[in-house]
Amino acid sequence: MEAYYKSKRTSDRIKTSLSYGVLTIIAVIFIFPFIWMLSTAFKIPSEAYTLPPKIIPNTFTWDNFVQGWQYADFTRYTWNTLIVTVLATLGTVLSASFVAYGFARFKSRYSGVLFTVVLATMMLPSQVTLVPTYLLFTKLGWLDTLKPLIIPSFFGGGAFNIFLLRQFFKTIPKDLDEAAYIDGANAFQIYYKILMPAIKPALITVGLMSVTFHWNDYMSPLIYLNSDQNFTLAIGLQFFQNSFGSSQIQMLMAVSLITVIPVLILFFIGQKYFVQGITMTGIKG
Amino acid sequence: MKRFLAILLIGALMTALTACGGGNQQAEENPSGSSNQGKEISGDLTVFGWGGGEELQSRKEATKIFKKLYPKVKVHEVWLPADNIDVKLDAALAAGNAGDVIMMSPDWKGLRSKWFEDLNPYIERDQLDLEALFTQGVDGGYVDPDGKREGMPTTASDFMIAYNKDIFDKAGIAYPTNDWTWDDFAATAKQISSGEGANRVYGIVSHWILQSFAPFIYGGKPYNEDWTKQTLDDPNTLKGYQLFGDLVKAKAMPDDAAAKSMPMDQMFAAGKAAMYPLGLFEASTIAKNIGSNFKWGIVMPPKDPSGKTVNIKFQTGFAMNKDSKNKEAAWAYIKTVSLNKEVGDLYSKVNLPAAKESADGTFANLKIEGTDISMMDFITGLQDATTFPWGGSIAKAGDLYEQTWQQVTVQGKSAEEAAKAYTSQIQSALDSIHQSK
Repeated sequence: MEAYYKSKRTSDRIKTSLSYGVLTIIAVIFIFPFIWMLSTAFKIPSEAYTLPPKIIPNTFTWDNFVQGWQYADFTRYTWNTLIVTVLATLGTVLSASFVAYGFARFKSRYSGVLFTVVLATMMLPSQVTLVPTYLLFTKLGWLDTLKPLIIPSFFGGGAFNIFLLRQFFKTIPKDLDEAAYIDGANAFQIYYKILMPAIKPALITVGLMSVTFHWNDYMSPLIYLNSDQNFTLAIGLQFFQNSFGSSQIQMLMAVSLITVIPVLILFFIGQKYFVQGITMTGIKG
Repeated sequence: MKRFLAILLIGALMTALTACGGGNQQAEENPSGSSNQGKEISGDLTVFGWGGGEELQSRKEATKIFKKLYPKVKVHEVWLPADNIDVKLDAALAAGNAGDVIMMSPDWKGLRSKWFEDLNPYIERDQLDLEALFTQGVDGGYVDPDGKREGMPTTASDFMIAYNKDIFDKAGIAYPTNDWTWDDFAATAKQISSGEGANRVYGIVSHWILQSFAPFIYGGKPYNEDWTKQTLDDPNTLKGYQLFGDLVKAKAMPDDAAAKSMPMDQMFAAGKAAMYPLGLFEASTIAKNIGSNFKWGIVMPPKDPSGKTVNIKFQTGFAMNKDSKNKEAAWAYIKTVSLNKEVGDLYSKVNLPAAKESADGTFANLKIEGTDISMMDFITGLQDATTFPWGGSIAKAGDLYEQTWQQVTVQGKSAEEAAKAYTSQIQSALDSIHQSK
């Protein structure tokens, strides 16, 4: 019997070691581009492409950050990106949770059909809706303002987010709502005071995904913005790449690093909730 | 009395002759026709363009010159990054707010015909002799087969083959000359390659433009004139692809792994490749990277079997939006940025100007920055160059040609095998362009 357990323990250990080994290799593969970006950002031009590649530069320099940042009005671009990201995320979280609450808790003859219609919007390629939405925003006089990048988020927050939050709402027992209802709470109070705190991990998940999307979004700013004073970081970086290509890769990496850091910090702060949010809704990779 | 009448007649004739002469002189000396019209044309004008770096800067400076010439025109400028600009342009054109003048390239193959104004009537009205005014080769592709002129050129760029003299000297091989053929090129590339592993010195870098050269180098082409039929399976086209496949097999050109190890411009600048297809747009950057690492020169790309130098050109011009509310100002802008000498001189710093006067006078006298290498060959190279074959509506088919190229140069398949796998797909892609037009 002891021999059996001993053999099982050994077998378990091997399995665990193998799993960790494979996971470590995968993690290294995934993190390598970031490490390379980090390393290149501190290199002098002649070291950027040395063979074999060096992760730790011989000569560290901060010049890439200074020169890269000065190439364009990146401070303004950062400010614009920040405005768009914060407001659009707020809109996404609020409106998606509100719509999801409706789908999760209220039943009507049409709720099934409506929910299918909402999900169907995920199947539409963005090219299909591009021209109509562009025309709409032109008629509204929103072109070359940050409005098209922010305001739509307040109208539903996206089908995927609605779906994710609806699934989360469904995991919370209805007894909570009923208890609150007996205590005199109305539907909005139940949503706001009872259910919103209970779905914090899912809200953070949606928030993080929204921040990442809006911070990195290139297409929407390209389509709706025309003036330099309204440009976002993604546009600024693309201009930089158009101008220098691979010849100033160290500067490009430096500016990219600066722009990616806020999102990274936010992810590390919220990763616990992010993982919890994803697993609890059953949406696993 | 007779004497008085005779003097009067002579006087009238002289006045008429002077007037005629003056008119001609203005048309010749000032093709951009700004001095008189500048004060008359007014209103708003939106210019829509894209790009980056010094080239974009020169376009902004050109607009400043236009503003000086036409002070009553209020110019709104929209300059964006080039990536995915087609998507923006599609939406803006559909919404009718794409601007009065729009940057365009003839490699779009008439994709936007319905949006652009025919410029022929304006050219006829202003009596512009474009053949005399434009640098030879710069205007190709702007006129549709039905005669409609889609736009006017502003700048162009073509390729030379840059070569590392030190590597040639060390190998004891004579420098290439302007009358070399692609067989000479392949033989040189193989002969000059040396070393192994990280120390390998290649004959030619694996430059992205070589894929565009491949179909033409033995007199073939990727598709027919009106791009209704693929000609990838033409024996001459296949021979062109095969040449580069053979170069990779002979390790005269980096294989996929070696090509991904560093950017190709850096490979040449670091002395790890003997030859580099040098685009005019990158000449000064490459020169800066090379610095004093080695001595180098440029030569025209090799000739095809008919004796024609094979070259690829990138062209940029401006078109007039059919929906423009201020077509006179739009035409004035297009004419200025295309033909004005001051603008042409400005472009000369970054590209080959469309205005012949600037190309022959200013550009031809320039040297590649930091070198003694003359720019003159780039002007000559433009004359026979083919417009970049994969742009605009042809891009989808272009992706398939790229995959064919990958099959030959990365997977090591023969050109014939690769073509068999892709010809029908390419034909479908070409068909779909005509169906959607």
